[in-house]
Amino acid sequence: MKSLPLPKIYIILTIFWIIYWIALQFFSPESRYFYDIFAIVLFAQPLYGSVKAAINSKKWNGRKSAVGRILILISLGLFAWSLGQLAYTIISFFVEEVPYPGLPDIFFIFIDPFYSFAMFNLILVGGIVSNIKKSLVLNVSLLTTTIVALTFTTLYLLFNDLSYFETFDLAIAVDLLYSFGSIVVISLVAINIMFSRLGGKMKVGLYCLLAGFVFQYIGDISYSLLEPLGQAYSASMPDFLFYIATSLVSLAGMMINAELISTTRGERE
Amino acid sequence: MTDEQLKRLVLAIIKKQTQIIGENLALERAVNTGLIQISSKDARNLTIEQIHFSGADNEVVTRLIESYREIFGQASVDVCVNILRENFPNDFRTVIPQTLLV
Repeated sequence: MKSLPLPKIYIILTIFWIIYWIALQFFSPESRYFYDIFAIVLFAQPLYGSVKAAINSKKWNGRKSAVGRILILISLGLFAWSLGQLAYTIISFFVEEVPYPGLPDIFFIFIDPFYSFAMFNLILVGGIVSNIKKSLVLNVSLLTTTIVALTFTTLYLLFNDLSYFETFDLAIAVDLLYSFGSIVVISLVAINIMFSRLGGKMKVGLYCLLAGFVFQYIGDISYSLLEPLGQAYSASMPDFLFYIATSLVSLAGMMINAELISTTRGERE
Repeated sequence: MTDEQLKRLVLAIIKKQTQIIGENLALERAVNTGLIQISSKDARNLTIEQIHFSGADNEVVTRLIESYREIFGQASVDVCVNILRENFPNDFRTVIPQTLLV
């Protein structure tokens, strides 16, 4: 079975910005301008992906179908990311350190709920509930173990110093909210990988989506670890991971395209 | 399998796929098997009377499932097999080839 054509220009652009980021790390230019360009790309490219995903959702009958809802939700997630990144970039022009929690977090906080609901809908596509029922005890045990392991790993990485909670404030509450969101998304990704047998012409698009969510999770963790050390500046490693994540999710939004597999057009493939 | 059972089964598969991939693609894929004719373009109100077949029972079901498999692979088959299981709890394996039940 032939897979679908890749959006080549988008992929070439993404590779270009990856090389640009590597060059930034290698040459470490002193002018802030070079780092700000990457911050703008980190806003603009997901915005483009958001628009494309929203357009593609209509071809799957929008919210009336599970795939249509997945595309709407990843479109909203990418849009929330773009707005948060835009707010972060603008504020960072005027102040040395962007307040946390602040305006960008009002947008960033919505990303995980949107991605979680997208993953719930992917569970419908893969018929996962029935697959779990086939060996109920074994699969539920496997599922529980995976979720518990992911939860403990995330919490340990982020909150291994319990003195952190001694002065509970809004920043800690937002940290917990982000962590909870990350755990839910990565657990749902794991469930999809473990129990669904996704394939066919949409396979590459769906695996891009799952890989994007995994990179988003790694980016969230690395940001939380590096930010207190002052190493989460513009175009740093977390930004690069977020760039890969949003690029993969955007790519999925473009590749999960009903028009490309429609038989009326499909005969031309 | 009686004609009535076949129609009910095909209807259930198409309607389930409508919930997953949307009405347009679910109906288009069914019609493009070349074995199913549908005289309605509204999957929600699709009735048995609006579906007509021109093939053997197993062939109709198999071609229909294979047409959906092209989209999401074995995951699409799993969804259809679940419907078969609900309709034929004891002998659903006889309705479609083993190659689809991997």
